[in-house]
This record gives sequence, structure tokens and C-alpha cells, in this order.
Amino acid sequence: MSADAYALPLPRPGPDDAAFWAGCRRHELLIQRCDGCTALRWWNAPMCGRCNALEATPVRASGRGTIFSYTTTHRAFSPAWQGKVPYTVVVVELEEGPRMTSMLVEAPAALRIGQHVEVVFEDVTGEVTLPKFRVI
Amino acid sequence: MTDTNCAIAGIGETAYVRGAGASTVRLAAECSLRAIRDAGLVPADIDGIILYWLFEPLDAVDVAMSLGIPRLSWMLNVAGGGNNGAGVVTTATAAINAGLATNVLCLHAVNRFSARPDRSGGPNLLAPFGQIAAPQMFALWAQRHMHEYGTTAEQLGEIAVTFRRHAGMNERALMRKPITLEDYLASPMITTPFRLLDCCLETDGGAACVVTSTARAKDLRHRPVHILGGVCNAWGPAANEGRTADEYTSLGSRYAGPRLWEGTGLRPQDMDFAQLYDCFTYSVIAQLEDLGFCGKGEGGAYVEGGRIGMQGELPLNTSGGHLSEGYVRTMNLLNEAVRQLRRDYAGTPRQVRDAQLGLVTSAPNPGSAVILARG
Repeated sequence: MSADAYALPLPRPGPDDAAFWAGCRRHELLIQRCDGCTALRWWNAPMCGRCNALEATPVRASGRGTIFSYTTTHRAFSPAWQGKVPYTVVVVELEEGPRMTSMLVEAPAALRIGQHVEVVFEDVTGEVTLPKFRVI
Repeated sequence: MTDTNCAIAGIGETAYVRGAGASTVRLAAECSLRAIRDAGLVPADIDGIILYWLFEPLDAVDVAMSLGIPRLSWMLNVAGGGNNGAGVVTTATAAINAGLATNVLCLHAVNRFSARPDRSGGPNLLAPFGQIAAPQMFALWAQRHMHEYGTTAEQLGEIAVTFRRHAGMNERALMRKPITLEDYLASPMITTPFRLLDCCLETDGGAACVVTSTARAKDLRHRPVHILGGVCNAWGPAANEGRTADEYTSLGSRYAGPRLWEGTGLRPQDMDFAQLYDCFTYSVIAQLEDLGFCGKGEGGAYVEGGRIGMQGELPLNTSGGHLSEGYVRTMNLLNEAVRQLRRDYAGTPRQVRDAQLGLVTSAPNPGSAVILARG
């Protein structure tokens, strides 16, 4: 798929999440392991909230987890999503502990909190791969 | 009991409409002028301004210039949304007590209906996955609340139906036509579990109030409404940051509540009414729990059986709130609380009986709140 054809929001990787998006390109789901205290975290903070270390190492997550919460969006909130509804946004609790927001590639008829999911990598443009999930 | 020694001396708002055809600065100036006049003051009496803005930038300098205020000793433009309403009023009391200003204008104005925010981008870790708007964020929390505590659609609906009934008595309200629980359940699904009637009203409008010392307020036009205590943006690991289900289904009110009760020596059961930040029905349930009106997980059951209606144990959002009056992010809730405590509606079914004390909150996380008292 060319970049021109993909009209949905794309990430603009910055210093704090470039490694994450680079991992997605290689179809690896990366979380951060603090170099100071080894705590695992998602990509929302440039510093460890436990020990205040600035350095962290990306480590590969299994890509499996459970649905912590979800919402199936029926009404598009911007024109770009008009043709995509309904779609399901999920908060996934990864096996390793951190929680991340993503979307389901396809929502089963009976969706519920606690269901097991696994990552599915979608190469949406030449440069960007999105980690989505499917119920297993 | 502590007191801020400050009071709300005047309130004002524009019409709440969809399609104001006016700039946000104009809406801000219009509601401000009404609040200043309501206090029996003129613009030159204002020496402090605090406002907050989201999506549509607003600057206190432009408001001051429009009003013809000759000079200000203090101003603050706060970037941010709903959580700031009760927070700016709290901060105004702090500024007054610190001697930074004497008569402070607090305001918010929005063209939320006419100037739709640009949702073509967004945070890297959310927008590419389609989470681009507030309803989805609150829906995720609500879904988890339903899962943990058995909260039902009918309980969310009770809130929507009750607030609409209140709006039916309010000439300022955008939506006044009564709705039934069946109407609620039949309204289109927006993002599960939220139907259209779970969501507040995108509104064009502004609302403002004038805060001054209690001593000065006594000499002004209205009976003052005292600000007994306030919390500005208390924060902790709730909502998105919450690790436990308990935290995930809480809002900033989890942190604002204890400060408020300890600071004022008051308890939830002392409140004669509350105006709770109802950007969505669910936020009411989470705040009732966080603020101690009921136990964790009991918010759904709490709103049943007429308890939150005008004749109930705790009348909530007596103007119709953000769900039915309009959405000026707390400031319209605040003005309603002032009217109740001034007993502007005396002799009508809109008046909360013997209203002495009221609570006004702002959400999501962080959370702000003020307790107001009849002077």
C-alpha cells in the first residue's frame, strides 16, 4: 500500500518512541526495560517513574495479552475514519505487565474483557507498521 | 472549618447555542461583561483574569482589551480542558489571598460546535489505532466499570433522563425535550457502551464569574456565595494511569475528594446538591464513588430510584448539566450552583430546597472541585 493511499493518522516518531516504531517495522513488539531498576514499562515516559533513570533498553514482548478494556466505535470522530467504523479500540494488558492501546483487526461477535489476544503487524505504508491485535 | 475568605460576587454567560457565529474572544467578552455587571461592578474594577482554553486559543489580554479594562495586576492563561473549571476558581482565591489581585474574573469560552477540533492527527500511541476523541477514552473506563461492578446501561440512562428533566425547567438549556429510558436505550450507539444520550453537548458559548474577598463581596449587588474550599487539579494514578481496576475506574476526584473534605471539615452528606462534571453519564458515577457519596462500585445503584432528582437525597446537575444544558466545561455548572445558593429560583420547582451548601467538580484526571455556601 502506498503512503498516498493510506489516509488514517500515522505516527510521527520522536526521540522517546522511535525505537518502538522501528521494532514494529521488523514485526517486533518492543516495551522498555529500565536500565536502572529493570522495571518494564510502556512508551509513555522518557524517565523511569520508580528509580528516575533516563536510560532504558527496548526488549521484545511476546505480543500476547488480555483485553483490559475496549470500546467499539460506531460513529466516526473524523472524516478519515468514516469508512472504517465500526472498529474496536482495545487496551491490552501484555503478558509482561504493561498496558497498551491498540485496535482489533476484527472484533468477534461476543467480545469481552479478559479475552486473550495476540499482536498482528500491519504494514500500512512503506515506512509504518502498526501493531494491532486479534482475539485468540 | 476553614474558608478561603473569598466569594463569588457575580456570574454571567452567553446563550448556549450550536452555531454562535461569533469569535471565541467575543463569547468570552460577552459572558465576562455579564458576570461583572451581575456583581455590580464595571470592567475597570477587574484587576485579575484567569481563563483556560482547549482547541481554541484564548488570551486574557484579548479579553481585557475587549472589555476596556485599563490594567491588570495578575493574569493566567491555563492550557487545558474540563478539569480546570473549579481549579481556576480555586486559584483565583489563592491569588486574592496572596495579594496578587482583588477582583478576579474567571472564565471559559468555546466554539466547540462551530470550530470542530482537528482530529486528523493525534498522539503517536493512540491516534493510529483510532482512539482520537474523548468519548472513546471515557468509554474504555466505563466498559471496565461495568465489567468490574455490574454497572448497567439503565443506570447510565437514569442520569441522562434525570438531567434532561432538569433541563426542561431551564430556559438556557440547549436540550429541553423530555426523554425516557426507552429513548435513551434507542439512541444511536456512538462508541460502546456510550449511546448518543450518554454524551454531553458540543456547544458554542462562554460562562464567567467574578471572585473577590468575602469582605468586598458583602458590599456588592448580590448576597455573596462563599467559596469554603477548593482543589485545583489534584492528580494520581487514576483513569489511564490507573494500574488496578479500582484506579482505572476512578477519576481525579479520587484525589480531589479527600483534600476537599479534610480542608473544609465537611462531609459528602452535608451537600444539599452537587453539580458534577458530566461530560459523559459515566463520569458522574465515577465521581460519586471517588467523592465518597457511595462506596466503590456502588455509583450505578446510587443514581437509581430518584435519588439524584430535584426531590431526591442529592439533586445533581440541576440545570441539566453538560448533558442537557450545554458544555462550557464546568463554568456553566458553577453558575448554576451560584444561582441555587442565591436562591434565584425561589418559589419554583427548580430551586433546591433550603440550599446552603453545594459542590461543583471538574474532571477527568486531574480533578478539581469547590464547595460553595450561601452567604
